Amino acid sequence: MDVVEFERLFRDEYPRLVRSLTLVCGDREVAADVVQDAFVQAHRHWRRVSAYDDPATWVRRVAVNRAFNHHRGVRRLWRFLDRAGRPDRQGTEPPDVAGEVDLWRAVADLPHQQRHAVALYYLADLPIAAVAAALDIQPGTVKAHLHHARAALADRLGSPTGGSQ
Amino acid sequence: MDDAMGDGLRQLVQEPSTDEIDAALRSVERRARRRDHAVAAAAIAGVVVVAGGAWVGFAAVDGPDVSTAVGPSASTTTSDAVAGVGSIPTSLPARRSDARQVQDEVNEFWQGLPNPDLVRSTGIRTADDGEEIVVVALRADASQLAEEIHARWGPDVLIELGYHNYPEGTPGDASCPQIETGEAIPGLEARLELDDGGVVASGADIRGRVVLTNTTDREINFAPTSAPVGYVVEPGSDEVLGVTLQAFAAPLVTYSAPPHGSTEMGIFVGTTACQPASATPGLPPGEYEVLVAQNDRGADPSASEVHLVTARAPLTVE
Repeated sequence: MDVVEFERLFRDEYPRLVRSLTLVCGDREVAADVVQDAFVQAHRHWRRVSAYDDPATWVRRVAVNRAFNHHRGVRRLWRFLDRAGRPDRQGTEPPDVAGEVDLWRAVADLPHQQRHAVALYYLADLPIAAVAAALDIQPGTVKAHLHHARAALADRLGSPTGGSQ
Repeated sequence: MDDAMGDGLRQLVQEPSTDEIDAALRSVERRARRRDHAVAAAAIAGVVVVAGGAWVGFAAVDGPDVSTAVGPSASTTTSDAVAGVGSIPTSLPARRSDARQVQDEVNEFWQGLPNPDLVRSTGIRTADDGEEIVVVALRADASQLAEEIHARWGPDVLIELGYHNYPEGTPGDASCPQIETGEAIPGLEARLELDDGGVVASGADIRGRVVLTNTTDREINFAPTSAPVGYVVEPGSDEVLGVTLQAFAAPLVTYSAPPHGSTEMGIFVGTTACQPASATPGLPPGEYEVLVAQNDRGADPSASEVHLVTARAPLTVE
């Protein structure tokens, strides 16, 4: 395998994906695991993955899907704990840092597609087209998700909406 | 708000440090290598499995040392297992055990699905370069399941959604069958009835039945030689547009319609687009017709005269 190419892809994508999926998963370690899992897959199948037009898109999509699956698992756990009367969500809540909790919670309450779009656009600094490719949706849909997410966050946090994406 | 929100989010989550990135890269490479070794070891273990004297594994000449005894008998060694077996592959397909392991995982996943009918089959395909890969054939309307399988196994699994490749969306090796021609069976009328009012979602299957009515004074037996399926065609045409990918065993049943009585033959209809240039895995929504054309060669399968039971019914694909 081309080690140099793989390492280049890793160093380009790993930081931004960990950052954005931390927002999605609400847990930095989970995000790092999810992204590393995606790269282990890419490493194992590098001959095929590297032949794709854009291997980064493949890695992002696998990581995003794994994050989504993790999120669904966490939500199932929450529902179970709620039903069981033990709302012990240790390890699944965002860090309780003064001034940041509201934003964490507001983002966490977004529908998952909106949250992914926000995370990849703002934290991974990906252009709309790359966010769309990572989420396997149309660019127009990404813009709509970002618009609705901004409106929801502004409403939740008491700030006026803006931006034109 | 846009900039402020971006700034707020960026402050919320810091990027990993260079040290963290280096450590993560080393971890990924370690894990990937460890898995490769585990796969190789599993492949080697397959070499010495001999059941009832029959060879069921593959010979390996490369890889880790396998001189220690493994397998069903503690005294069985690689050379013991290979000796006397006859013609044995002298090189191990690089990913065979891996592909089988993946197939086992996929099959286990399949068994746990709430709607297992969405999966038509799993198999292992060997590419020109000898590499083996698991292929999962899904019903044409199982795009959500395709997405989940792709997310779980990535390029380990080739996904066929109907006749289309997923996620590329490119048409695969689609081909539509030709409707057979022949004479109708004298005195036997056929009427096709579809479940659910003849309305089906694109890519899904629908069941129905052919009601065979005998208008004569003698019993009529009908022994179909083809699978109990109906084809989706253009209304009024014999050109097939949609099929089911459901696999059927060879039909062994004989239908008997008593004098002036009737009997029913259950049939299965699919809306997987089978034209090579189909743009979508399932038939586009619209009005179609289902055509059943079952042949009957009676007791003599080599008979040149072919009798058909044909029936049509309207079908709406949504």
